[in-house]
Amino acid sequence: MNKKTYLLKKTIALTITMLLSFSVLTSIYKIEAAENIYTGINTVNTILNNIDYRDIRQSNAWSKEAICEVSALEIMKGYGNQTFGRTNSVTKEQALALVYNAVGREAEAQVAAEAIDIGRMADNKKTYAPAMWSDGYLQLAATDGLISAKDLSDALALDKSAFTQENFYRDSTAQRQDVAFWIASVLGLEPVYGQQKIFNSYSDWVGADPFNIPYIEAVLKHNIMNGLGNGRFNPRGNVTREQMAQIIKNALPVILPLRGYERKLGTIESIEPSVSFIDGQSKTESTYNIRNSGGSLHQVKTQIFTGQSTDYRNEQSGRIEAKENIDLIVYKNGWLGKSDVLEKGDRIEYTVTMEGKVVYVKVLSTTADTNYLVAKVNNIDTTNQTLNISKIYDIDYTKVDLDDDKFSYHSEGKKVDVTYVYSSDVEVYVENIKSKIEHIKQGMDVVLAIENDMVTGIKSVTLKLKDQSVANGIVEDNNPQLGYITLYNEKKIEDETVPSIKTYNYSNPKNITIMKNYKAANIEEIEGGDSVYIKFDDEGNIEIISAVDNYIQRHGKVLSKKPLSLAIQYDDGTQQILVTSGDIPVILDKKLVNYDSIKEGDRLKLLLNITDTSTSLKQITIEGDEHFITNIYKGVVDKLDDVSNSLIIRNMEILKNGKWERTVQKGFSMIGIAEGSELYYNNENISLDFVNRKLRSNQAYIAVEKDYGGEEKAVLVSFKQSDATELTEFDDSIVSNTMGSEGELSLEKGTNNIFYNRGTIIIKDKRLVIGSSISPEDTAYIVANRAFNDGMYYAKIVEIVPRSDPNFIGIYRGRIASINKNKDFTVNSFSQLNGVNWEFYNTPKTFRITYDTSIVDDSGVVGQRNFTDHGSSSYKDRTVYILANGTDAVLVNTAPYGNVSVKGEIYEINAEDESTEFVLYNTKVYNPSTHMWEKSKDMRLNILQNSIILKDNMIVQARDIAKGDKVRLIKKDESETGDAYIIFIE
Amino acid sequence: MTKLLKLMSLMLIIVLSTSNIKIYARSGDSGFEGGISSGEVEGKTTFDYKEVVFLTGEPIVFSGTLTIKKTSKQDSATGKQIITSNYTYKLTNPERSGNLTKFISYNTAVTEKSNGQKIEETVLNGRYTEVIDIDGVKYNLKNYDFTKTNITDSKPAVDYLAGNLWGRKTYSIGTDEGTVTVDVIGDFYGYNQYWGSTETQVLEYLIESETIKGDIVDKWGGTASIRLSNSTAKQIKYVENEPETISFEGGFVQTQYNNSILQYFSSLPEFDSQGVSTDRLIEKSDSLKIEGFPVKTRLLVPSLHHLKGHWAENDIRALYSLEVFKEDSNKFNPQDVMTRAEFADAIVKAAKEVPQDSTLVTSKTSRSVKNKKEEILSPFIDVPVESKYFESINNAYKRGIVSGRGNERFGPEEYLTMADAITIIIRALGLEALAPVGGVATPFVDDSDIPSYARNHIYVAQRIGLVLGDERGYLKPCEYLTKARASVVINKVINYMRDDLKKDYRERIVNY
Repeated sequence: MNKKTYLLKKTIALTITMLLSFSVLTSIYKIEAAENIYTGINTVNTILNNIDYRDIRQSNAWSKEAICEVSALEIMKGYGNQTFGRTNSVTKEQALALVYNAVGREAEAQVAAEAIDIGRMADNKKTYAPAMWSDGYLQLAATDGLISAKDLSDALALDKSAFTQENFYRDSTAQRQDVAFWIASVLGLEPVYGQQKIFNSYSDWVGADPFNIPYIEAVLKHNIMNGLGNGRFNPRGNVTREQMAQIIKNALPVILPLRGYERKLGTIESIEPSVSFIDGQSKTESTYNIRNSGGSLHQVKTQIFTGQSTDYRNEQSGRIEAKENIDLIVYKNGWLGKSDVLEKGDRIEYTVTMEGKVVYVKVLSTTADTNYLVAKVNNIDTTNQTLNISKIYDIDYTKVDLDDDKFSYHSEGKKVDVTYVYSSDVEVYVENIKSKIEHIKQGMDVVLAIENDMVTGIKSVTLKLKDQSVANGIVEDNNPQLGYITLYNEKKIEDETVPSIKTYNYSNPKNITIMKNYKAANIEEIEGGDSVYIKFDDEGNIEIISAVDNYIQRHGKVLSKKPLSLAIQYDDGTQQILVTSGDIPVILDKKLVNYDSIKEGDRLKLLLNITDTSTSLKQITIEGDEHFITNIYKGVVDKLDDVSNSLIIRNMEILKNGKWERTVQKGFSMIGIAEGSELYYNNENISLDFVNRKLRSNQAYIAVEKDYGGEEKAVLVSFKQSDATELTEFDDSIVSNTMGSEGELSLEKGTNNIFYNRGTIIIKDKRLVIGSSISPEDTAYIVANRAFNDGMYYAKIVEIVPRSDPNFIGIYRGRIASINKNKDFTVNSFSQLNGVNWEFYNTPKTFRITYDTSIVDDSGVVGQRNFTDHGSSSYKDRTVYILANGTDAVLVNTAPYGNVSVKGEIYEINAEDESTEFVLYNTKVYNPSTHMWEKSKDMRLNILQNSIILKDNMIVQARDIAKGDKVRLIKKDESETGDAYIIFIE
Repeated sequence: MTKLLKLMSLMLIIVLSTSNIKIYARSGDSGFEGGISSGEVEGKTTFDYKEVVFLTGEPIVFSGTLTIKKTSKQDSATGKQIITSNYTYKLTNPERSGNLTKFISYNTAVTEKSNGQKIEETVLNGRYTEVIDIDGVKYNLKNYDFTKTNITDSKPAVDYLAGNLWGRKTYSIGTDEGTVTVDVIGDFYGYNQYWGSTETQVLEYLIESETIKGDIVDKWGGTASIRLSNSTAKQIKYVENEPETISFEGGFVQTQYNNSILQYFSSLPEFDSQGVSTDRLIEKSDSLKIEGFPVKTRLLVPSLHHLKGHWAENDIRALYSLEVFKEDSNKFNPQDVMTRAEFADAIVKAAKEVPQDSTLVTSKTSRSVKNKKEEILSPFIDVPVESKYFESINNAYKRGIVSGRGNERFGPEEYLTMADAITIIIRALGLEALAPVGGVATPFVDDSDIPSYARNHIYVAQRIGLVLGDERGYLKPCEYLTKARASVVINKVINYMRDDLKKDYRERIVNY
C-alpha cells in the first residue's frame, strides 16, 4: 500500500467518524447503535434474469467480473437472449449510449430523441424505441461537443450514398481514442495537457488524433483505459463489449459519485434473521451487521418471501405472483447471487444509493484474514477511533516470544508509520489484563491484530532492549548496479524450518556503512556466500551492512594451468576447474608472487568462496619447495617392507642427465613410501599389497621427493612389465603431444611414437605432472619400454629438461680503477667471456654493488665495507673476475686469470666436508687456433677457496659438485694438474 | 572406478588401536625452545631431541636428549592448579665441537573457565641455565624472559589447543666478547585425542649480535623462523595370512609411532674470512625429523566370513578389530537398522576419551575419598544400570555426545537417522561452529530433506569429508541408519581423527 491510500483512508475515516463521534463515544461498551441502516433492492430477480448470460457464466473470461458488475448496476445490458456477446465490437452510437448510461443520463437522451423524432416526417419516424433513443444519445453527444454538428447530421442522414470515408457513420465501430475522448468528456475528467504518460509509455501515440490526446492522457491517468501491454495504446483500435464493460468498471470510482452512489467496505460481523408468517407466506427479514472500514457498525436489511400470497396477482392472467423480495445482488466466488450467499466473516464492498439502497455487494474475501504485527504506539485518537503506530515486525502468530526468533522483519524492509482505524469493540489487553482502549498509551509496544486493515485486538508487550531493525542471513546475491541485496535465511515457524529469501534495496551505497571482515569495504566486496547483518534506520533504509566471508580452504594439486584457469585435483580425488584472474593473490613462502610462479604439479592451498551456484577463487598459497621430485631411480624391487613401509631395492640406478648410473650404495637400498604415493603396474593403480604378492623381483621406476629431514620418499612407483624390453634412454625434443592423461608423443629424432599413461613418471619443473603438461618444443629425457605383446614404445619416465634461465650472468675480468664504497666500482678495461673465448674491450665499465654482491678474495669472503680502493687492503689495481647480472655485480673474485678451457666428467672427488680436489676423465682441451676440443689425459685438479662454481647460472659451493657431473672449467694451462678457476657444472 | 580403488586402498591402511601401549606426543613434549623431540616411547625416560641454534649467525643443528618432569599441585591461595615442568637438555654437535646444556623450569597456572575451557599461563619460575659451546666459543644465557599462554577447549572426543609465546634470551659471548639476544614470537596449535595428537609451533626469531673483536665492534641482526610439529598416530594395516590352512583370515596390525618434524628458514649475514659480518644476507633452509620406532600390536580377527564381498566389509572388519563393535560377529547383519543404544555404544568406543598426560606426576596431597561407595544412578529411566549399554550411554551422555529424548528417556531401542548420527558425530568432534552463520545449504541433491537441527552438522561433515553422498549426490538424511552405513561413517570418523586432523595441523601449517 502506498502512502496515498493511507492518507485517503485517513480522511475518509475522519469524515465518517466525525459525524458519529458522539454515538461512538457513548456506545463502546453498550449495545452498539448502527451508524447507517440500509436496505436491499426489489429488482434483484429482474436484474439477475437479464444477466444470466450463458456465454459468460460458463466461460473463464477475464472480463467476467466487470460484465457482472456493470450489468448489475444496469449500465450495460445483454442482447436479451441470455447472451452478452463479449467480443463484439461496439459501434459509435452504442459507445455513446453506454457512456451516457454509465452516468445515468438515459432520461436526457430519451427526451432529446423524442424531440428529434417529433421533427421528423411521419414516414421517417422511428418506430423501434431503441433506435429512436439512439438518436437521442447522438443529439446529446453533439450538444455536449462529443461529436460535431456535421457528425450529427451525417448520423441522422437518411441517404448515405454520397458519403465518403470522411463522413460519420453512426454504426461504424468506435475507435479507442473516441471512447477515451467521450468518457473523459462525459465524466468531466480534466484533459491533461503537457502529456506525460502517453508519450513515455506508448510508441503509437502519433496514431491518435492530436485533439484526443489530452483526453486519452486523462483516462490513462485515472486508470480507466490502459495500454495493451506491448508499449502500444492502439488509438485506432476497436473496443469490444467486454472491453467496454471493463472500461466502465474502471471508471466506477468517478461514475458512482456522479450517479449519487457511494461505495463502502466492511466485514459482515453477524447475520440476524427473523422469520414471520404473514398471509400464508413466510417473511424472512435479515439484518446484516457490517463493521465498516471506519470502525462503525452498518446494517443492511433484506426481506425474503417464501410461499405464495393470495394478495398479489397478475392483473392479466390472475396468477398469484411472488411478491418482489427486498434482496441484494451479490458477487461472490466468480458469479452473481442473492443475499443468501453472504456469510459471516465475508469482507464486502457494498454500493449504496443516496436513498440508502444497496445496489451491489461484492465479496472481497470470504474469511477475515487477520494479520498480527508488533508496533510502537505513536498516537491514539479516540475521537476518530484511529491508532497511529510505527510498525516493527510482522508476526505470524499472536504468541510473542522474542527469543524464539519467530519474528520476521517486515518484508519490504521498511518501518513505516501507519494509521489504523480500530474497531469500536476492539479487544484490549494491557499486561495480560483485559482493559480498555484508554489504557493504551503513547510509546507502548503492542501486538496488533489487524482484520481487513482494522485493528480488532491490542495487546501490550515488553520488547527487550535490542535493535530490532536488523536482518541477517547469507548473501544470495548482491547487485550494486541495481542496488539490491538478497539474503537467504531460515525462519522457524513453530517447529518447521522454512527457508526464506528476502531482498533489500539500497539506492546510494555511499550512505551505508559497509564492513567486510571487520574492515571498511565497498559494496562490491559483499558477495554471495557471505554471512551478513544488515541494520536499517528509522526510515527503513539500509544503514549498516556488516559481512564476513565464509571462505573455505581446500588443498589440491595443479593438474593443468592456463592463463585464466586452473584445473585442480583436490585431496579427496575430486577435480574442478577454477577461474583465475590477476586480482587473486598468489602467495609463496609468505610473499606475494606472480601467477606465473604456479607450476603444473604444484600443491596449493586454495581459499574458495563456495555458494550453491558457484565456486570462486579468492587466494592461492603455493606449498613450499620442500616436496620437489629430487631424483628418479630404477631397480629391482625385492619386496615391500611392512615395518618401515619402504621398498627394498637392489641393482639400483639413478637417472642423471638422462643417463642411468649406479648408485653409491651397493647391494640393497631402502626407499620409504610417502603418504599418498601411487603405484602403477600395466597402467593400473595397484595396492602395496599387490607388490609383495605379485611383483617381487620386478623392475620399477621410482620418483622420489625429499621428506622432512632430507629423507627421500617414493611418490610414484611405476613397475616394468617383466617381458617388456627397456630401450636406451632418449634425449630428444617433443614434436607433438596428443595431450590428456594418456596419450602419445612424437619426437624430433626418434622415429617411433611413444605412449604415455598414468603410470608414466612425468617431471616438469621438478614437479610430478600429468601428460597434458608436456608441450611441443620441450626437450626431455625419456626412458621407455618396448612392450612384448604389441611392440609399441611406452614411456616410463619423461623428464622435461628445464629451459635455460634468461637471467644470464655475464662473466668479466678487469682491473679495478676505483671503488665507490658500498655503491659501485669501475674497471679500466675488461674482457668478457664468450663461450670459451675472452673478448677484450678497451673501455671502462662500472658495476653496481648491491646488498647481494659477494666479494671473495684469496682468503675468503670480504665484507663490502672492506672493499675499498685505499688503505692497506686496497683493491685498486687488482684484477678480478666479475660476475654480473646486467651491471649489478653478483660476485667479485680475485681468482687468478686462466684462458684454457677444459671439459670432462668428474670421476672422483676427494672431499671430507669441503671438496678440494677432483679427477676428470673423458677430458678435452679447447684449442683456440683450431677451434676444436682435443682429447687429453685425465686431470687431477684443485678447487681454490675462491674458485667460481656455477650451476644452472647460479653460484654454488664446492660441495655441490658431485661425482658424475659433466663440467667445463677454466684453468691456467693445459697441464694435467693445477687449479680450476671457474667451473661450470652442466 | 579409480575412486573405488582409492577407497579400497585407503581401507587397507586404516589406523586404529586398542592396546594400552603409551605413546604420546603431548603439548610441550618438544619444549618451547625451537626443537623437536621424539615424544614418549615406552621404555625410554628421556626423549631424543634436536634443536637449531642461530646464535653464531648460521644455523647449527644440535641433537641429544631432553628430559621432562612435570609435577602438579593445587595452589593454596588461589585454588588453581599449578604445574611445574622441568626441561633438561643435553645436546651436542660433533662437527662444530658443539655442546649445549640447559635447564629450564616453567610454572603453569591452569584456570578452568565456566564453559569448560582451560586457560594456561606459563612463566619461568626463575630457574634457568643454558651454556652453549660452538667452535670453542662459549655462549652463556644471562637473562631469559618468557611467557606463554594457551587455551584448551575440550570437546567430547578431541581437545583443541591454541596458544602464543613470547621470549627474549640474552647470552654473553665468551668473557666480555659481546652479547647475543634472541627474541622469539610464536604461535602454536594442537589437538589431542585417542587416535593421535599433534602440536605444531610456528616460531619467528630475531637474532641480534654484538661482538667485540679487538677494537672492532661487529653488530648484525638476522631472522629465522621455525615450524615444527610433533605428532603421534595409530595406524592399522591389514596383513594377509600366508598359510592357507589357518583358522582365521588375515587381520589388522596396529602401528603406533611418534613423528616430529622441523623446518627452518634463516636469513643471516655472510661472514668474511676474519669472521666479521658482511652486508650480504644468506638465506638457508632445511628440515629435521625424529621418528620414534613404531610399536606394533596385532588386533583380534573377527569372524565375518558371511560378509565376504559386502561393500562395507572392510569397515565392519576394521571396527570389529578395534573392538568398536563387540556383538557376536557371526550374527552381524549389515542390513539391520541400528538402535540408538547400539550407536551410542559404538561411537563411545570409536571416539574414546582424550588420554591423560602421563608425564604429569600428581603430588600426593590429594585425599583419598574412594572408600565411600557411591550408588550408580542411570540418567535415563529407560536405560537401567544393568543394561549392557548402560556404561556406554552413561559415558556418552556425560561427555555430551548424546542427549536424551526428554522426560529422562533415552529411547535406547529407537532407531536413528543418518542426520541424527551425523549430529552426534560432529558434536563429539566439537566442530559445529565451522558452519557459517545465517543458514547453510549443502551440495546434496536432497538438501531440502535435511532437518533443521542437523543442517549445520551435515554441512560441517560434508566439508571435512565425513560424508560424500552417493554417486548421484543424495545423502538421504532421513533414512534410518543401517549397521552397514553406520560402519562406514564411524570408520570414516576414526580415519578423520587419525589422518585428516594431522594433515590440517601439520602439513598444512608447516608447508605453507
